[in-house]
Amino acid sequence: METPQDDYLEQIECDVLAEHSGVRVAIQRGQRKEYDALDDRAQGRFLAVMKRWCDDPSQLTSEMFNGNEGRTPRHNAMLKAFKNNTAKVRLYGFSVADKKMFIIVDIDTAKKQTKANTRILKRAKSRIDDFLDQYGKKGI
Amino acid sequence: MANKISNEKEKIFAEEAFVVDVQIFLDQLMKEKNISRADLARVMNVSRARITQIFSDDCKNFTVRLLARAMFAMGETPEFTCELHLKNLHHKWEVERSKLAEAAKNVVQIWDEEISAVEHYGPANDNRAAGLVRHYKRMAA
Repeated sequence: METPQDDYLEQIECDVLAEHSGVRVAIQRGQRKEYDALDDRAQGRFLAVMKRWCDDPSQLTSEMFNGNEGRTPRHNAMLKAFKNNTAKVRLYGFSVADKKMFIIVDIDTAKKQTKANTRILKRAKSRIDDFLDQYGKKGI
Repeated sequence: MANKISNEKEKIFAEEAFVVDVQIFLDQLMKEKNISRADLARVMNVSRARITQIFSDDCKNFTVRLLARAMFAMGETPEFTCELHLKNLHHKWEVERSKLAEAAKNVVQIWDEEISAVEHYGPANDNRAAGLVRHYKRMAA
């Protein structure tokens, strides 16, 4: 049975990666291929961390998640990131409160250092602003 | 062959899920007890780097012994269980409860009310609740 969340996912062209207690982590279809190319261990860890995020984001450690990667310039939305320092991957996105959802808009798979790549940070922020231009700012 | 690969992937996913659970569990416990990672290293008598390893993504060299040492250092005794054991324990409780229900319907009703009260408001400081807690501790042992 389709839920209003499913309709919303179709509308914003996203796939669900993890779900728990009615909260979801979704990824934009344009980023899906890059996510699927990650090795099983990295995907397994991300999946486990995402499920815990759905349960309660505040319980994640600083190694798993960064809830403040800065705000976007136009819509002032908070950029957040799921992290895996061993695989050197960051999944950038933002949370949509009224949809109980985290949407991944960008992936940094070429992290050369522990610190975030500023170019990709900027790109992720711009993608969130583009997303909000297209689908609206309600609930951010 | 496809099944074998999928099975291997599931194994890796199960490993990672458990590692994440343990890391979050330890981190939460440290927060509850107001213990920093530096404090933990000191009381465990290990290097700060070893603690960093415990919380890292690859979680290298995190042995059962090290987990036991971390728990002991925080004044806790770890208990290990799995879904099957929890299910068996629950079944044991159900059997006991149905025996009691046959013997004394009113008592079971009082117990159910007490369990519900304890779940909502925490343990009450009276003899009836204390007896209930003792009973469940015995059952769990």
